[in-house]
Amino acid sequence: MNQPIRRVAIFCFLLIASLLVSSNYLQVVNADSYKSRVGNKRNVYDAFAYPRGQILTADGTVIANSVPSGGLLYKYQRQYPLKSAYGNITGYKSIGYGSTDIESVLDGYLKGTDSSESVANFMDTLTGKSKKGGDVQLTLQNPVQQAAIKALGTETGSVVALDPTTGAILGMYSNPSFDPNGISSNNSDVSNPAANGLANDKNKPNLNHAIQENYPPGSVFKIVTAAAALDTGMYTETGPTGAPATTLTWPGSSNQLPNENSATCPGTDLKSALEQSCNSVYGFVGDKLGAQTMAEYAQKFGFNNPSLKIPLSVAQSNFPAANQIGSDAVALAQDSVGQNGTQATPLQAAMIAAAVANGGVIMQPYLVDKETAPNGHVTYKGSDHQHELSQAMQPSTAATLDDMMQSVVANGTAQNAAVAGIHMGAKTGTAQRGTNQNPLAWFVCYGTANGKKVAVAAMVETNNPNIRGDVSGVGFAGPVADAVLKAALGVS
Amino acid sequence: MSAAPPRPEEPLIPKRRNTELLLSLFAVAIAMFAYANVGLADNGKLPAGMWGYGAGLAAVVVVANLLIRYAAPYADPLFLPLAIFLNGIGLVLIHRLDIYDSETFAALHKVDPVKYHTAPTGSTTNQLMFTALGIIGLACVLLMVKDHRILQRYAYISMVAGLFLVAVPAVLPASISSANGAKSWIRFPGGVSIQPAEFGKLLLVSFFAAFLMAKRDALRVASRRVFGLNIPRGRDMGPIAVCWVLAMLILVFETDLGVSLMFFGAFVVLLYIATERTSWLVFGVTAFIGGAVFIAETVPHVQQRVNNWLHPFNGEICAATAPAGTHCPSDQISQSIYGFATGGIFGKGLDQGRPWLVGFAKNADFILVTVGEELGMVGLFALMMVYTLFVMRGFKTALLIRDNYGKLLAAGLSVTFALQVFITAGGVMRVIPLTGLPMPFLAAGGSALVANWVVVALLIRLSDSARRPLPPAIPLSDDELRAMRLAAAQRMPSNAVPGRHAQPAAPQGPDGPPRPHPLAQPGLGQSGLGQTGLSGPGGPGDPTPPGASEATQAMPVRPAGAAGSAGAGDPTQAVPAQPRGYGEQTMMRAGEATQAIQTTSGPDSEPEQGPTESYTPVFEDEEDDVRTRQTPAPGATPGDAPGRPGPSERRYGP
Repeated sequence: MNQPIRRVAIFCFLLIASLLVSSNYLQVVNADSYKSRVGNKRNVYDAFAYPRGQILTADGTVIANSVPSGGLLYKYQRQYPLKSAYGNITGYKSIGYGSTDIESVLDGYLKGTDSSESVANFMDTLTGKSKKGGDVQLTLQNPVQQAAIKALGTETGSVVALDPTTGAILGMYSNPSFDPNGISSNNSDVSNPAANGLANDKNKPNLNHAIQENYPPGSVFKIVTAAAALDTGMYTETGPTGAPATTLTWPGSSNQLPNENSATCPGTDLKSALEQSCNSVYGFVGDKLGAQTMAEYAQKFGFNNPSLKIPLSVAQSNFPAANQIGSDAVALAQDSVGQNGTQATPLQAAMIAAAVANGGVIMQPYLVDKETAPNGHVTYKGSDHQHELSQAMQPSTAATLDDMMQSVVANGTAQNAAVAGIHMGAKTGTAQRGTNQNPLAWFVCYGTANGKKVAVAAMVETNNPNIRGDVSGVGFAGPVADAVLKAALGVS
Repeated sequence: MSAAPPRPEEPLIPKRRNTELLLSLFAVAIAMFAYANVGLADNGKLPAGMWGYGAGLAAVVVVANLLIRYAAPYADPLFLPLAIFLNGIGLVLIHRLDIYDSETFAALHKVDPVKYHTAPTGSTTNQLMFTALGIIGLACVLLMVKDHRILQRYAYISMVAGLFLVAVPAVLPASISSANGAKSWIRFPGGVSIQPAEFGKLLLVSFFAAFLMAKRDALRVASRRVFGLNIPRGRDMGPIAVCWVLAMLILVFETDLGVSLMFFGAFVVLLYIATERTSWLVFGVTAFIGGAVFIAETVPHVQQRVNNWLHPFNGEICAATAPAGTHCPSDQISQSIYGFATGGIFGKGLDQGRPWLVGFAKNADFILVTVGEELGMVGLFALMMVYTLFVMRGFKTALLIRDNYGKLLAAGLSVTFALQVFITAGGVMRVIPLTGLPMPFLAAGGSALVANWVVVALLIRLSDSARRPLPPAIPLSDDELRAMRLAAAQRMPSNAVPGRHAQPAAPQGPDGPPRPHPLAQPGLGQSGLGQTGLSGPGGPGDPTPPGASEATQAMPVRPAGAAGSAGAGDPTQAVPAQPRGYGEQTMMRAGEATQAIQTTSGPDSEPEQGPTESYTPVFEDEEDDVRTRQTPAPGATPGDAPGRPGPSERRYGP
């Protein structure tokens, strides 16, 4: 009988060995795909079981942290001390509604599960520290942000400030914003109405309009057209272009491209046309450069890039492709003055100014200054990852444009926005939208003071129909950009 | 009688009781460590009851150890520590899950004191109580069952009682017996519920062992050969058919694939061990799979379990998408999968995972999820190795033990235990459809725990008799030998043999004249032709232990050199046709008892043979089951060499 007993013993061992194989399959081989399934409530519980990392500004202001909620399963909840100031940058982290923006993009790091934190986590496990997520410090500066909030006031609009030499985004605000505390509450009696309110708000306050919405840039785009004109060598700063001074017309077409308020341009050279923002000249120049060249330069400035991440995803700014425009000179002229098919995010507008300020080089814009693991070890530094996004134009072209934009402040449309003590260049814009909408007021500028250089783009929507005729870039967006520029440069 | 030569020394065999004590205390220490771990993870403090709990377990260990020292001194030293380890870890896991229940209650109570007014009682206390009961059960079995063969006597009673226990939940109304889709419980008023099948499995295994021991020759010999398989005769299919029908009935009426599979599996495996015929395995497995598939196709609740197994995520998908009020399948399997996946290799640490997401039966059938999630694959492997070790010691006992009933019983208990581990863990880990068996020793559930402690007691008892050394032989003086030969010759006048050699008595049946000495019996009793029973002085140099225990001091007879671990395999020492050693004798007992008892005249029977050997098997089969091993020495006489335990069976100890 012993032989069969031995065989049965081996069989029993194989039975248990099959359990070991199954354990291996469940716990190692397939573990990740199982864990990430939607039905696994542990993922949600985990996110609220221990403190998530903080989100801070560059000056150390806490803009998101985790506080004990008193609940059993969801032990912590997310809190945003500055409420709506950073609402559409940090996003929210909610039990029922998931996460958005930084909370979503850097979720792994804030949760403490990012691979860069694994060493720190392992050490913490060994030393018995309680689990915690890593902190994320943004490049945003709270004074800049507060200046933007104050300057925009109740106006709908966006403003972006960045350091042209590094690409670091110093301020970014779009009004209206929202208070993420409501939807992030662990109490569904609070979070559900807040979420419904957000979903039904047609202003989309939870959308970061500075990077996730496209607008016609209007005259701001003339910087790109000017750069193309100068860089290709077809035109010079002060040489006459041969364009009509008042209204651009096309033979055989009833379309016209008049200047703002049908004004007559003081000169047809690029410099004076930029000062007065003459559509007739820049439309003409755009036509002469051709769709191919315009599209090429638009792309160099960052248009038509679908994959820009800061690390939040940035909506693609558009300039119509050459084959799309074809031989349609009317469309090309309108595109060249920032109308028609041209669209830009406020961040893109700031990047245009930054290119001029930085010798033609556009640095990759970024928002994350550093990531600090729970044990204090810095695992990521934004300054180590600065890189050139593109060379928009030759340095000499940038110098020429710099001169032209300074003269916009000195002699042109941006005179009212000049700030004492700041060496600045600027460009205004008034972008037409539909007939029933106020035009957009744009103002992009850059300035140097205290050894710092900052580029700013401001866009104000001015929804009051009564002032529709009075909307101008310098009048509405100028003060906003100035306030942000002063805050960023530390000029009082 | 003249003075006998000096009695040889008893062979020295390590009893390993101190090893057992140390290992058991180590097991307690591990459980205590885990307990402390839970407390520290929960609130940063050592649990309040930790020292009391540890002291209690340690006391249990010491008591059990002392008891085994007394009642089963040669028992395998691993059974107790392994069982204590599993039981202790089980207590910790249940305690860990209780913590969640009481915290949930506290949170709910704070919100709605009216609705949530009674705190959950927790299962840890209950489990502790049943651990104590289990130890008492162990003590009772060890003290009352002095020899496992006594159980053989109750074969049919075991069968009836076992069937009753297994069947009773199926007959009772569902309100009493149904839980979690399986009708395998009996709930008593007052919250106590038991799973009678846990005890039923013990009784049925005991019955299977006794039954197959008697029937094995009929089952193994008669057959036809078809396609390389030995097909048993139709009428021999009876027992397996009955068992199959029974298993299918359990499956249908109790919806309990686990119990059904366990019983039928144990029966088929024992049948295979008893008959050494692979064909029985083929039949059994085919029949069970066929029946189970058919039932899974037709009976809705079994079907549902199979569906949950094949599509574990349907439940949660349904719950998330279907309109409210839809009846969705259980999501327990998917929660269990998430638990295991979350645990990963090293686990989250005790009290740091969320195994309670499994919900119902989280501390019973699904307790392995807690192990997987919080102790990780490493912890799960360790646990499985402990189970494996337990089962393998059981099989080792089955190999070592010298009687066939003991072999079948030990193997049956081991197989049942292994099957239960596999069925339960396999269900939780989605190897097979989920069934309703509790994880042995780990799961909360009093009846199962007590039943498992009884299994431990039986294995300890079996391993004690397996490892117990053969008592030394007392050589006979020449006078005694001469007297014996004379007596033998006188008793068998028709078989007179010339010379000094007395012809041993052939089996005479009940009518045979009384033999001069009972202990000459075993060897002579079954001797065949030409066998010379006592061929001269056995030689004091190679003592042969008689079949009795150390207690039989005055035992006079027993020449020869067959036994003793040294001389066992040595043909030069073994006098042909000598009475066999202890092992053979004990094996003979059951089968030959009829003759033995009836031809042995009372007063000088050795005391220990009393209750055990007076058992008369109720089965007709009078075969001597010594002929287990057909292999050795083709020329050997049937009663001699084949029955002699081979070297492997002579080894003692682990």
